[in-house]
Amino acid sequence: MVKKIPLLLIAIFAFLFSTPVQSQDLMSGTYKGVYFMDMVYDLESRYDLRFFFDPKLDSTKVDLTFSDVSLEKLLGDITTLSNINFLIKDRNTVIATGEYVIKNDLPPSLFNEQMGSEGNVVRDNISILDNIREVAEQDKDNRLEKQLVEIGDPVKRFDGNSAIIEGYVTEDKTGEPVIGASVFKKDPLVGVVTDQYGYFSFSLPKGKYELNINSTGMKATKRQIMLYSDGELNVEMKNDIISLKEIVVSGEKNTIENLQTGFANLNIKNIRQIPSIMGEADIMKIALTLPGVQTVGEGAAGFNVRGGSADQNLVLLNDVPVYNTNHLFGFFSVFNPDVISSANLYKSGIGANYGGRIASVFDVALRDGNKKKFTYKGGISPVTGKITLEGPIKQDTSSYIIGIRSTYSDWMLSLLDDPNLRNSSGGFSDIVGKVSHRLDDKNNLTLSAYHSRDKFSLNSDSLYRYYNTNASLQLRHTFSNQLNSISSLSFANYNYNLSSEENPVNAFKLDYRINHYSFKTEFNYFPKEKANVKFGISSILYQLQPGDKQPLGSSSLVSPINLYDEKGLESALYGGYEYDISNKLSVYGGLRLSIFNSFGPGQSFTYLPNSPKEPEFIEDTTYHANNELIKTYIGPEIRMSGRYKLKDDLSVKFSYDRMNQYIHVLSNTTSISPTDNWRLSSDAIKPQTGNQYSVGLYKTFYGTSLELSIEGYYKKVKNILEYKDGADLLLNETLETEIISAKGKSYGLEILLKKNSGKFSGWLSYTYARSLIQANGLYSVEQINSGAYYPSNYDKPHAVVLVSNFKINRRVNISFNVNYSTGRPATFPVTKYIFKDQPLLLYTDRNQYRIPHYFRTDLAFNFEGNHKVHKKIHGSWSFSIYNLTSRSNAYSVFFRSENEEIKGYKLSVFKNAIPTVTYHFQLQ
Amino acid sequence: MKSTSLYIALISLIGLGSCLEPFEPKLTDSNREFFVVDGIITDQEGPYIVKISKSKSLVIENKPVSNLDVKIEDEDGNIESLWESSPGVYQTVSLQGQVNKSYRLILNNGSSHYQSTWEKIPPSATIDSIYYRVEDKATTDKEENLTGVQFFVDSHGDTESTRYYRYEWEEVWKIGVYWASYYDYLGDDKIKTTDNPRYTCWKYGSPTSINIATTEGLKENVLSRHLLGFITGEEERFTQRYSFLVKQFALEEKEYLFWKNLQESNEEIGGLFDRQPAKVLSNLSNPSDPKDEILGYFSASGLKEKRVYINSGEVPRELFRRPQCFPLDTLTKDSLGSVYESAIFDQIKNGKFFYDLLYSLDPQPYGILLSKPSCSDCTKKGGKLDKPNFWDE
Repeated sequence: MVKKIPLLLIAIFAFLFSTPVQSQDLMSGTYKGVYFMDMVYDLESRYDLRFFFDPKLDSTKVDLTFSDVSLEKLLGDITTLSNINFLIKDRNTVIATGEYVIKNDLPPSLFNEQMGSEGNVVRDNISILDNIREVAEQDKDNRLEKQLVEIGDPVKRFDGNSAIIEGYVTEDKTGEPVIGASVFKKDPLVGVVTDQYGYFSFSLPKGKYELNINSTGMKATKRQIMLYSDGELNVEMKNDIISLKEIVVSGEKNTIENLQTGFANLNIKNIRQIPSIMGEADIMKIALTLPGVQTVGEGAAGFNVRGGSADQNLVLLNDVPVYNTNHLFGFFSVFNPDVISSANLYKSGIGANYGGRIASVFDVALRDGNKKKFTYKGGISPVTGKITLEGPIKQDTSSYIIGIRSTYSDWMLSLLDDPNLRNSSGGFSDIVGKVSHRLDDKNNLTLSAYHSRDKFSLNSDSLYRYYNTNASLQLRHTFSNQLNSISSLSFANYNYNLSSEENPVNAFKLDYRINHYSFKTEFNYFPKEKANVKFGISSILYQLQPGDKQPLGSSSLVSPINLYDEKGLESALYGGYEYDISNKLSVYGGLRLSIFNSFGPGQSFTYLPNSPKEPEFIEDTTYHANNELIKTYIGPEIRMSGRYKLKDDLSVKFSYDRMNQYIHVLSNTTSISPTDNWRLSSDAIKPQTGNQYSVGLYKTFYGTSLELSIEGYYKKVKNILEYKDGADLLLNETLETEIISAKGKSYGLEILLKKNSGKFSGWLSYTYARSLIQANGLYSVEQINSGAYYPSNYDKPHAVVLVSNFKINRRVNISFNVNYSTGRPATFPVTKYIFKDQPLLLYTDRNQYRIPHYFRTDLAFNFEGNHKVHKKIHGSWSFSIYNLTSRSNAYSVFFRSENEEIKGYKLSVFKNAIPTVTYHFQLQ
Repeated sequence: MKSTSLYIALISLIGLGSCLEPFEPKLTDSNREFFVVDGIITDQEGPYIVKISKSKSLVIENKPVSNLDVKIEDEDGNIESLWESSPGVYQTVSLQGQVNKSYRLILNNGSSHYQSTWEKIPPSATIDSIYYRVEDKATTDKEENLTGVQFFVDSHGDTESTRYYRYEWEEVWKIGVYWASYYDYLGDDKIKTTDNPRYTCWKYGSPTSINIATTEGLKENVLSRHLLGFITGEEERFTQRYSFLVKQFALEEKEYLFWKNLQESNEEIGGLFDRQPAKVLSNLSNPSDPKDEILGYFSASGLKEKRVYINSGEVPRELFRRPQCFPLDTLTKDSLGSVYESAIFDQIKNGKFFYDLLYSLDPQPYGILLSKPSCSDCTKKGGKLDKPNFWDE
């Protein structure tokens, strides 16, 4: 009786080299309801046979009678009766393989997978016992990494000096593209990073190389190639289960090599490292741990990048903007963590292919569905329940993924102290899905869609509802090794409504809506080695209903107000050229010509000369017909970056970006409120323009395991929107009378030290950042703080973030995070006075004080179960404590006049440490 | 083959909860002084009062400003000077405000000249009714609700008239004591029988908070169920009879915005989505120096008033509960012996009240009854003995 281990070795042996051998003996026997194990004992004792089987077959019952049959016939009968398959080896060795059929042939993929430009990779579709497979795969990997792959046609090897190598990097089990994987050769270093399709293409001198393929959370692999001419190399990478939690954020794949300044890639797979508040992982909260990314308060909607307001971030979900990124007041983001693969954050050095917002691009990519098999995942947290389904539509060709998430209770609000919040209710649900289809070698089609619904009532009075809908259809076409294109048609809609029915006389309903239709086509051209041209055209049509108020119910006396629709067309023509001048010097130059047309219907006001824009100074009103062109803005936007490598592990970079923004969130609250709305530029609201200069120094130590980056930036922004005291932005026909056009300047220094691998990993960052605004109009009503520069609401000069992960052993790791920042600016009174027997405060200059500094530590323990790759159940526990020190971090500090005295208060969103225990398991 | 992944997150419930705690950040005092003007002219009979004070700092209260030259001018150029009735309080003599007429306030302190913008008195809407509902309000303590009387107002005005209103209210309520003392203590260990046992008083209150309303955006100038004060049973408000007088000021839009900004910056602050507190200045300025800023307001309003009464028994029991006054303390000759009299006066000097003598079968008093002031003298609970003129019972 030999179990498991010998079985495993022999099975591999058998698997690789055996050919079936006929057994000579004829056998007889009667087994009525005996255990398989007992039958085997009996057979082994009577015949010259050795059985090997998985112990779990021990207790399988067999029930059969046979006489004078061959071993093959007997085993065939057992297979029919009990679904146990066998492999006979060396005449007298029988390997029971349970439900798996072992083919006698070698899997074709073992040797054929990397056969150059042969096209699709053939996958092995045999399955044997898990353990056998594991060892076999390791073996396979070793072979793949050592075997020489010939690319291209040997006949063409003397035509020219270099050739283009292209292909896809995919994850082996799911067939999903690996985004952002680096494919490179060393000495000298030449390489690229895969795009959102896992696609790469670059030019190399012909010859023999070792190509390295690295990606976060994946086992690094390599291929030996012999490059004859243009050809294809597809690579499958394995998920690195053990190192899964090592790194959350990887900056550039190779900080030294990449041209990009101010860039970070966030990986959702590693999200558990940042303890979440309610067991709901959130990629936007991870973004907040990066240098240069701030928030105005705990749970506040949106984020601020390098001193920009929240609406200056272009937040894309599969290339379509998301107009409201928040669920439940901003405690959660709209991104379902189970369905997204990664997010890229660009703070500077933004390519000409992006535009429309001036502070940053936050590009979130949805995962592709599993192309191999159907899987599902589910989860319940204290707030939400969710389920994710994915699988192939056609094996290896098309797949789908769909994720649904919904709150099932708003009990957590009932725990809050504040009576207004306690009497509130809220909930959301969202559904997101993607279908990817590989039409043929040259064409990939992707359809993705998102829909979310939110509703809440504050203090059980007004009911707010809002909806986000996004959809896009993308076609990627490869013309040749040197040219490919991505074309997309997209649609986005955001609408909200607010209704109040408490008092029938004042009952009303208010609707807001924005529709976004866009078209984009982009070409990616590799004219020669080390050069890349990206060019394209895009156009967005906005249709916006800024406010429609209607009476609700027959007794309502509310008069309807319907603001003019806003219509605008934002188009762009762009091109960018990236070129490696030498091994040391790479440059990028791009130009984006953006054009914004504002169309009627609408009205424009002219104001009396020599008077500020106030309603009482309106001299004349001009009405514009539908589709009449009201105003056109044209803005050339130059983008430049350069990288110079001082040493192999040391480089300096520079970038300059100019960005225009034609759509704005009007908000005069410190954090974005539910009724804040997007409005288009028009003759009254000028586009915002930002110019950013950024420089950086990048150094790696000990290979690439330790990275240091120091980046500095200076940014000037024009026409940002500030507001007069007490401005009312809702249903306002003369918005420009509430707005002050202001200038902004931001500057800062971001230092990031990051350790990518080893027992201890994580990063430490320090940010010094200032964000100042100047509102210095001609008239005193158009001035804030008498026209002097003052700190913006999100000016937090000092921030320190530590994200760390200690791997105690293969099963246990501890995360410890620290987050410190200067308190945000606040406006405090300058004097007290009594008016009508009530003490009141006088506020003069804005943002001259700060709320107390923010400090939070989080601790998390993660316990992995048995980390065998093919175990039936993967279980892991995590125990996390958010805000370990129970510090009541101030959300705001304010003064209230109540009961004939002035009282100062500090409002904190969380006052205690919040422990969360999560058990996460996956069945296979 | 399928795979399932599930997770369960458990959270300790104690962890959550926002929190509001007193906090006094260090503030830099500007030490800048501002004139604070609290003046009004209405369409009702005068005299109209203009109070002028000067703010000092973040901690010191306003100081009244005397000896100013204060005038009100009407749109026809008629000027009436106001006389100073008490420090910083100036009042008109014969001026009568008229609806739809504009007025302005002019101040002169000898060196600087200030004037308000022209303010027109808009006609006030008719108050249809003042009514109330007993409500429970949630507090920051989840276990405890606050019971009180929520007052509402319904008004209607001409569609063309102003649609902006401000409300003030005045409370007067009757209070009583169980054991009104029959004696007055005159000091020096002397006691005299009182002519007027202080059984019944009237108490006054005028809570200060900003209350504004608008019918802007409605087809008709109808104000419905507008919330006025929420009054709890504190200070025995509903133990006998309670009067609630509502004053409705009709405002121009500009003044309404002034109050709205003042309210948002001083009262409705502290939510998740707050605006910046606004710099709220008055409608007065110094024409020769725009930087010379003045606080407060000179208001011109159409005024309407309406009063409602609530008798005890019309509200739930917990609202008219009176403080207990049992038992009375007794001091007897038997127990005190020779120190009897000095013991009584000691008690009285310490704040106790001599309520009555205690007799037994003996014709001589055998002891005395003492009570707490709040049980024996309604003025000791802040009441006034004089029945208000309007009081109607």
